[in-house]
Amino acid sequence: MKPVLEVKGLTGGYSPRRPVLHDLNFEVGAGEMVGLIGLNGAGKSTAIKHILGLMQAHAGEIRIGGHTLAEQPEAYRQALAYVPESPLLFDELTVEEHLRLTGMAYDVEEALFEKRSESLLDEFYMTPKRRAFASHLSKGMRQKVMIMNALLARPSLYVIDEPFLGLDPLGIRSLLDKLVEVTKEGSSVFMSSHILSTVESYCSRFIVLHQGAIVAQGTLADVCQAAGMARGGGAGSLEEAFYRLVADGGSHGSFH
Amino acid sequence: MDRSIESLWRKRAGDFWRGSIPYFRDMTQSGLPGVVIMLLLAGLAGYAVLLRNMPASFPFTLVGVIALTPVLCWSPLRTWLREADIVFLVPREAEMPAYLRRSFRYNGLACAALVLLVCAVYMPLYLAGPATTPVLVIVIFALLLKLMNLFAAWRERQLVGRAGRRAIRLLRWASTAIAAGALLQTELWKTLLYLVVIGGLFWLLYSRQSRYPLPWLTLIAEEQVTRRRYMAFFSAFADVPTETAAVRSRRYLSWLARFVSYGKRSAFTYLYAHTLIRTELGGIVMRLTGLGMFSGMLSAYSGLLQGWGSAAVCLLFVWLSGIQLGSLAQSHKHSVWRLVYPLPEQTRHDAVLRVDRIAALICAVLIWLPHGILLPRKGDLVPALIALALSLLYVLVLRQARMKRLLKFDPEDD
Repeated sequence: MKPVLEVKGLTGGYSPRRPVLHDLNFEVGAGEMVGLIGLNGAGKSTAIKHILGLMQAHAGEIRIGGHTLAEQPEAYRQALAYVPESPLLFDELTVEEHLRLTGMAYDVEEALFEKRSESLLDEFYMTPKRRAFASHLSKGMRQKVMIMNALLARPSLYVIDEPFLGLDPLGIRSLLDKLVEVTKEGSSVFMSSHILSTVESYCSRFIVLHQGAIVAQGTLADVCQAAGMARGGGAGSLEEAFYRLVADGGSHGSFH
Repeated sequence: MDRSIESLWRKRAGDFWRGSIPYFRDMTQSGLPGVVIMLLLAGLAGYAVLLRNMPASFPFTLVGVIALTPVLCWSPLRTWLREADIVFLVPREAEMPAYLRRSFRYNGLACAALVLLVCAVYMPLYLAGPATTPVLVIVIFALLLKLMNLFAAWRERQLVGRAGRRAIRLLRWASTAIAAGALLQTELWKTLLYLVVIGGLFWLLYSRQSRYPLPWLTLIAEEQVTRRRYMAFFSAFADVPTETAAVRSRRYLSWLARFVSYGKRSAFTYLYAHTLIRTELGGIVMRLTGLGMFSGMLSAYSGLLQGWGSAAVCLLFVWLSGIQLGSLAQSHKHSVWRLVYPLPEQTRHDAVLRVDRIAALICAVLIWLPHGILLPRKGDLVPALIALALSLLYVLVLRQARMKRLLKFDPEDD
């Protein structure tokens, strides 16, 4: 089966002379939820920007649904929805107008759009705020609008950068429930987060990024092994493995 | 280093104007000052014609009230405050009166100058009509009203309740309009009595409302709106840094955006229609169209230069509204969603052109309307028709080509 997201030999950053990302190789399969974890400045957001096509790779290749952005820009973008770390809303649109715009941009059938937007407004407790402008929403609510827009599009890949920032406990629960639901329907989720316990509970595989390189990837057992932990009888947690991998400057080296 | 609060005010004011110089240069190069001078000359000529052939039924007081009320009431305050000041300046709140005194002086003088200018323009009209009060007294009273409004506007900024603030502002504008009417039409003692009574009532009203000693959030928001207005204006001539857009719901217009059909091809049209209607750009275009209609009414009413002057006024405002609308092409140029949405860049270009064309057409028709109604009555049908034809030519042909060039040679585009 073809992976939804393929990243091969990705080297990139803001300046070709000082790359931030070094030779990243990973895949995200259909129906998989993959967690991208790393310290501040490890290169998580830069990696996501390369996947989105907001930054150009110095070397390597990124494919979504088998297409590169250069070959098939529309198909590439149609296949992914993005939730940024800081909510990026249009100040002049209300919550429901944002949903309508997304529905139009992703070519969601109108009747389906109506149904999905009503249910999303309801599930994220945003129905009373449907006619509110971005400036009248709290940070958490703005983040909910971003998430609702991504979920409305129902793409094959969700790229989510720090989704839990500012969300209240109900919002976090709604988001996680929806992510489980979409993965069951065959969509993939590529999510970066610092909330390791949640990532551990919900993701099937993990990518540990440190100083722009992948120092471990795979299932929890693979990551624990890369961290030099003998994982027997559920002893190793993602948090412990992560700490060992990055706290001493990543002495275990990059993972290939 | 001088760390006094006054020097901070001076530095911020200096920084703002120094930062604006390049944009003023771009504006000058666009030819706008020339057009404004022509407009002023045309206006003056029309005004002279109107003064010479003043009809007995001319609504002197009404025109005076319409001209004076906005400049008497509108009392902006540049404080240069920004969000970060909540952290850095709030601890120095005790020193802020000295800081704000500078703002009051800065805006107070500018507002007084504006009142004097409008008085200077209106007084010849007043003298041509049944002038009952000496001009000097009118000017002194106008300045007194301005002073009262400056104080009242500050009190409104201090009010805790937003709804109360709006209602009181509306009341202040209405009371000032009545005061201006009284000043121009009735005996002086009656106006004076009215001012004393209304001043006392407002004093009572303000003193009964709860208020902040220093309304930080209101002042920061007001400063942000003013900056955005400058940037929205400059964006018609240059690529300006994007500030978050000031948004008004404008329900009386936003229903128009509902006519954009649901579909992938219309996604950007839907976005740009809302951008135009709800941001400061829409506000500027609406005010410009309103001013164009008002100038059109005066010039067509006076039959300026056998109608040809009136037609020129119409074309100038159609051109000005078009220039301002051009800055729509700058909107969302740096938005992430432009690159993330699965929409070809061409659909964004098409949307800008479509929204721009419809808006420019509506503005042109509205600006032309007073000329179209009033000029034929004076027997000047040909200038009215020529003005319409040239306006349509500009909107449908020349502007479209300019907008396409603007979008096509955009170095930011992929």
